[in-house]
Amino acid sequence: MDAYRELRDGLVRALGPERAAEPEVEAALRAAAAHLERVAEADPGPAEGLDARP
Amino acid sequence: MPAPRTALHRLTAAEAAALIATRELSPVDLLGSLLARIEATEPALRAWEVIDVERALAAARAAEEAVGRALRAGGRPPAPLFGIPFGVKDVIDVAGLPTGCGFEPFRARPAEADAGAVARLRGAGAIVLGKTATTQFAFRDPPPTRNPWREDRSPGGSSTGSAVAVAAGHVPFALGTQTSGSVLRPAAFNGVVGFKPTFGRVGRRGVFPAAWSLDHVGVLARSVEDCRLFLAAAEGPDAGDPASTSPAAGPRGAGAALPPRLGLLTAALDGSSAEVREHVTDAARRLEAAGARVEEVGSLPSLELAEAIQQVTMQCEMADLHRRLRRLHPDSYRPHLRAYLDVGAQLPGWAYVHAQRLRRRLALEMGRALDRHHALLLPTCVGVAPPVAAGTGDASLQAPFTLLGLPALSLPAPPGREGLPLAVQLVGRRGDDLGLLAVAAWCEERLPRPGPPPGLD
Repeated sequence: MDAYRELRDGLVRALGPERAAEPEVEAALRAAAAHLERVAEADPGPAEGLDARP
Repeated sequence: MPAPRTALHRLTAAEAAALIATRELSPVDLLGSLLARIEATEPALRAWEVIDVERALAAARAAEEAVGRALRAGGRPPAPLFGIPFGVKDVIDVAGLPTGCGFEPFRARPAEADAGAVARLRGAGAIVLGKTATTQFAFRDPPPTRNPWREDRSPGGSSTGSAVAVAAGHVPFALGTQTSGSVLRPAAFNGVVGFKPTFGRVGRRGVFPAAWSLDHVGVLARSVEDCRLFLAAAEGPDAGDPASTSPAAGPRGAGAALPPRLGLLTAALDGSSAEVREHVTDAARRLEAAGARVEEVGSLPSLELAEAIQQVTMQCEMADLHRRLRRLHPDSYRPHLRAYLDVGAQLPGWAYVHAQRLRRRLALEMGRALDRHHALLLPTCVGVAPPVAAGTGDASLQAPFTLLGLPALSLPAPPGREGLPLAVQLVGRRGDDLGLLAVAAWCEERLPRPGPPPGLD
């Protein structure tokens, strides 16, 4: 997944491109995208009989 | 009354309470000494939002009279923290004082009641001296507070004022909160002890939330014994916090197995500065020489993954918490928090759910790893306090244990090459806070301790 693009596109739709380009927002986007990708790629594994993996 | 040997503003809470209990120290004199200390150093340090001099003095006078009555009756003061002043981070309610949260619209709004932890500490005889500075809503935008060791370096956050007030000798202990690393990191940067109990052990009623599933109430103090006194006074179920637990819910007893078995978390050393690596390795050697069994642990759940889960969780929860408040006060938010919330509102729901499933897996894995040790040993932070402009510091070594709700404690050490304190972190088993404190006290006795910041005493 391209988490950065997905988050940024959503932010542009919600608040506009100017807000998305501000340095604090850009830094927050990059940090959040890195965390999101790491979480998305990780396997939660079976959880006490509640294994919902496909 | 005979004069205590240690300067009054350098006494631990336990030392001061012992002197008060035998009437060798007057609570009024102790408070007067701390107020003089604050007057001399607060203009440069800016650790406090408000100091409640009148009510603190009235409480100290009442404590002095109560000690006299107790001794005349042949007893002792009725509570373990009798007459001991403490600070309260300004996200925690104190009746009659505003809970400012570093947020202008809140500064004129006094709390109607004490937070649960504050009420319990008052019940143990402690005296609220005032509210200490915090980053806005316990996030990253720093208050004007200065690090007493070096003014060009960050004092850390978000329990910034609490850590500086303890380091500077303003109070023996102060309350903080931790959602990522906001108790242990400022403790490390300012050369004091920081302790975050197991999630739920200290109730959060009256604490303005940062992220509901991650928030902990903790303490900044001068000794491990003072952390134990804090826990004994503040812990317990609280009807106002459904996540709060009974102390009896957790295991106890690592103290009986001293010297401890420690797991040296080598993965945490890899990403730390050379100075921090040397310090933690040296501490491990000293503890081993004193009888501890120190084993390298390399197979724990990934710290990077744990930090990512913690961040996704926190960002989603904060974005939700502030949705309404942001509409009411759109211009009162500071830049980093505003950006964090804007981005947090874009995180998809599946990410939060997936993060919670991963959190559960990590908790099980970490629990198994901790079964083999009384505590994990690792750096508190990847480096010493960074330059002020670089922010309040890196939470990557504190956040994983906050995520999992494990008890954690930072032990300070004398300053290193840059004149800034170093620290090691100890992480205990879930619910075994007393075991962790016993291990930490054992380590504290065998490791060098920092003196006061230079130029202040």
